[in-house]
Amino acid sequence: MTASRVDLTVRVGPLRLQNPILLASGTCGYVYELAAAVPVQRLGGVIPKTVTLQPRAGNPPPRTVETACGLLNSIGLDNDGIDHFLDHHLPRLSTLGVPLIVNVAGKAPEEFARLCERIDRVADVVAAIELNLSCPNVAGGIDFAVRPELTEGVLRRCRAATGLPLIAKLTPNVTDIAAIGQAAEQGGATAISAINTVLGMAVDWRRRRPRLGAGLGGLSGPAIKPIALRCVWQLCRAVSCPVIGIGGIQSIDDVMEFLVAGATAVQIGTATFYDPACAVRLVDQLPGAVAELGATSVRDIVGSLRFRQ
Amino acid sequence: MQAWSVEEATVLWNRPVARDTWRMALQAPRLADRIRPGQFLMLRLANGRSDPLLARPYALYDVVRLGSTGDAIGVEIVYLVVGKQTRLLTELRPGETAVVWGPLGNGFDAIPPARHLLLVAGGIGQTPFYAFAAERTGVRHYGAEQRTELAEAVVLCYGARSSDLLACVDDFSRLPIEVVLCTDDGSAGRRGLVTEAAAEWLDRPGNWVVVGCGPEPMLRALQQLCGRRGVPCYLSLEVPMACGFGACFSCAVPVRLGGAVDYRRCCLDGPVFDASEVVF
Ligand SMILES: Cc1cc2nc3c(=O)[nH]c(=O)nc-3n(C[C@H](O)[C@H](O)[C@H](O)COP(=O)(O)OP(=O)(O)OC[C@H]3O[C@@H](n4cnc5c(N)ncnc54)[C@H](O)[C@@H]3O)c2cc1C
Ligand SMILES: Cc1cc2nc3c(=O)[nH]c(=O)nc-3n(C[C@H](O)[C@H](O)[C@H](O)COP(=O)(O)O)c2cc1C
Repeated sequence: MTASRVDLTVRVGPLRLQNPILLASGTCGYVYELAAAVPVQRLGGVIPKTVTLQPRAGNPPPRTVETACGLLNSIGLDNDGIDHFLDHHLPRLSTLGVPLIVNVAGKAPEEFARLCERIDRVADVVAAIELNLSCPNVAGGIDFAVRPELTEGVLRRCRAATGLPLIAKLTPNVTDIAAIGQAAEQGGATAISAINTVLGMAVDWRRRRPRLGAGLGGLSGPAIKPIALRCVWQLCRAVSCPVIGIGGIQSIDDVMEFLVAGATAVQIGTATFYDPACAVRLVDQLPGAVAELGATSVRDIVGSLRFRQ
Repeated sequence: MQAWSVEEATVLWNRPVARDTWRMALQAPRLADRIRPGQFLMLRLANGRSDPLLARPYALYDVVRLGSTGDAIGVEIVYLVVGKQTRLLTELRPGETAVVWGPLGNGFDAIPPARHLLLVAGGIGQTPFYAFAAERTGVRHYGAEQRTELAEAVVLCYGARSSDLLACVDDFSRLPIEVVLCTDDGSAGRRGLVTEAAAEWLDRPGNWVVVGCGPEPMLRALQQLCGRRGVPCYLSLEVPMACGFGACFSCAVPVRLGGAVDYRRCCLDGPVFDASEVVF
């Protein structure tokens, strides 16, 4: 099979993407910053920073600390709220020529639903909504995706509020991610994305203080890839909806590992920070890697992982 | 949003210039062609390693030009060895490569034309001032546009803990500017804080605009000094950055805007801020 003939398109529910490489929320700002240097229209889709109902200043600095092969962050959902997003960012985002997935977070199920209603009114320029059920950085916010019934509740409210595809983004900081995935699907999720960051901490022992302004933070980057792969594989076995893999992806081998483990698509996160053109390069490299398996389509390799009998 | 680009850059030279302080030139024509004084670049070691994972920000020190034609072919940075990446940077040899992206940040173009410029540098904070002083005295130019608002007088007050940490003083001394050196221990120049030297210059007649770059206590002292005297003051801030181009929201700087305090991204809205807005 020649690489030039490989079909890269994938389906996430009713959504058809030109390829399975997306940019992860919170790691590509409002996309225009990156688009000043990188042709983002070549990607399967982009997901700007989480939007909340009210503006949020975010956490005190330092907000990031580098760790061995990883990054700890406690940004704290710094954003100017949904009104500003719709007035200011959306017009710009809708001219980028790449499918836009809007990521939202609420402090209560009603807030999630209201955010979905607002986005539903601009559904002509939005491809899907991703629900950030799992941000570990927000004091006072409930981590919905740690309990199946809360997850299902948020999904039901959102499903009633919009006809757009809903992607439930899950946290790895749970005992049984498969049960949370099933609850999300039960509640009406079109797809599941995993993982958000792994809760972590860094300590400055000389000053006897945490290194992050907020104390705790979320770990991302190559250090978390094995955890992410495990979560994706467990989710794929437990649900029938598409799963989008996220966590430490920086090379074409990483992309292929997630696809073979069952992910329909992947999101590139922290790698964009240290290799801005990473996601676009992965789109270029994907046909060759798929062809290496003798496949003609990305869809043929998704979930083709075999365990030794 | 200004255009920026990613380039694989070849090291042209990399040598020590003071205690723990190195000067490195990188061949990066696209960056060199556009970068302006006070702007910065991100640099990542190109060998595919994951530790250190992130790139680091460095100010433009100077642009390297090709002899006769004067084409900009590279950038020079001056760096202080403080940790993981800067330690590894000292091992880069000419011909080896690193990945760089830029130009990033607002740079000193955020500062209106000034007749009398007082530049105040603490430690490695001197790095952005060479290109700035060279341009505002008409000695060199940077980027596509030729700027012409020259200053009548430029003074650099440059302080360090001791004389062995003062770097590139010869470069500054060759510019048509006044250079005032200060060291904590009196091993070079005046003994004492650089902000004390700066305060004395402000006593002299002139329409001073003050620009500071250095450790936070120095910047805070400058902010207060200029606030008391009603002198315009700009600060170039050094805060940890993960990406440098606005995607990560790590480099949050608290600023006071019309009474309320909010965060701004140092990489996009800075690194140069009006001192009266910065909340320390
Ligand atoms: C706009 C800008 C321009 C800069 N220009 C220069 C320059 O021209 N020359 C130069 O030597 N340095 C400059 N810096 C600082 C430089 O980026 C840091 O020294 C560098 O990131 C340290 O990397 P490291 O891996 O060696 O240290 P690390 O191992 O990452 O850290 C070592 C120590 O330095 C501290 N640190 C890390 N990053 C920063 C930072 N950005 N500011 C202050 N402390 C930090 C850490 O908390 C730690 O204590 C600039 C920073 C900014 C934001
Ligand atoms: C600095 C930073 C900010 C993030 N902000 C968000 C966010 O606002 N919303 C969200 O759903 N995920 C956020 N994430 C999580 C990422 O989208 C992603 O799930 C996680 O980083 C794992 O992928 P990676 O290892 O490729 O980065 C953030 C991650 C980082 C590093």
